[in-house]
Amino acid sequence: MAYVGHVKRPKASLSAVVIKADGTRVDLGMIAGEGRNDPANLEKGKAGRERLDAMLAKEKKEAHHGG
Amino acid sequence: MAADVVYVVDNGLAITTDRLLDSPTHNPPKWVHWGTGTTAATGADTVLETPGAEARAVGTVTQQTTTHTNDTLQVVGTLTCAGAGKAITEAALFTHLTSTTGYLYLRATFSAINLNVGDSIQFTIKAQYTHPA
Repeated sequence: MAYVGHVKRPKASLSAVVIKADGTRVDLGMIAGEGRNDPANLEKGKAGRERLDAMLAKEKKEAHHGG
Repeated sequence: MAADVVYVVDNGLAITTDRLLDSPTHNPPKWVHWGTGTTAATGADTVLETPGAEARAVGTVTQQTTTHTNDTLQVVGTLTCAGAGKAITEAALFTHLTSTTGYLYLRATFSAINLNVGDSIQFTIKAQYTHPA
């Protein structure tokens, strides 16, 4: 159980998959909660965010060039 | 940068016991929303800090097994970015489509996820209930 102050709470977690407008899926893994800092999850999140940032940069470049 | 934390908030504890009553006043916490607030989630939260203009999405609610059979509530919901690109930094579960204070079950904050219009995020939210120590 997670503790906040003196209150015991359910152990919560949040995972995310970004689905680009063209249908491409980018798994960011667990982005908040216990287990987020597991090495495998951190690696998945880092790779996913790098891929997502590359897609956004490409989209920005294409928009700038009208295409 | 928002802290990567998630809490079943104080009101979420009340929602949990309400749902055990013969005639609960709350619906299941199945409406997913997001926002751009960066103040770290705490147990005292009652709303999203800066909710997005998009409507809340109804998620799929199931029981899952983490340690003991069916000890975990799971909600899977997808929101799509509209209007303008944004950096999503918070997400929440509510027991109502539109109401805010009094209906928040869980709030999370996390490192920004940058979206363009038409991009979506599928959130998988879990809350595991275990034996009180």
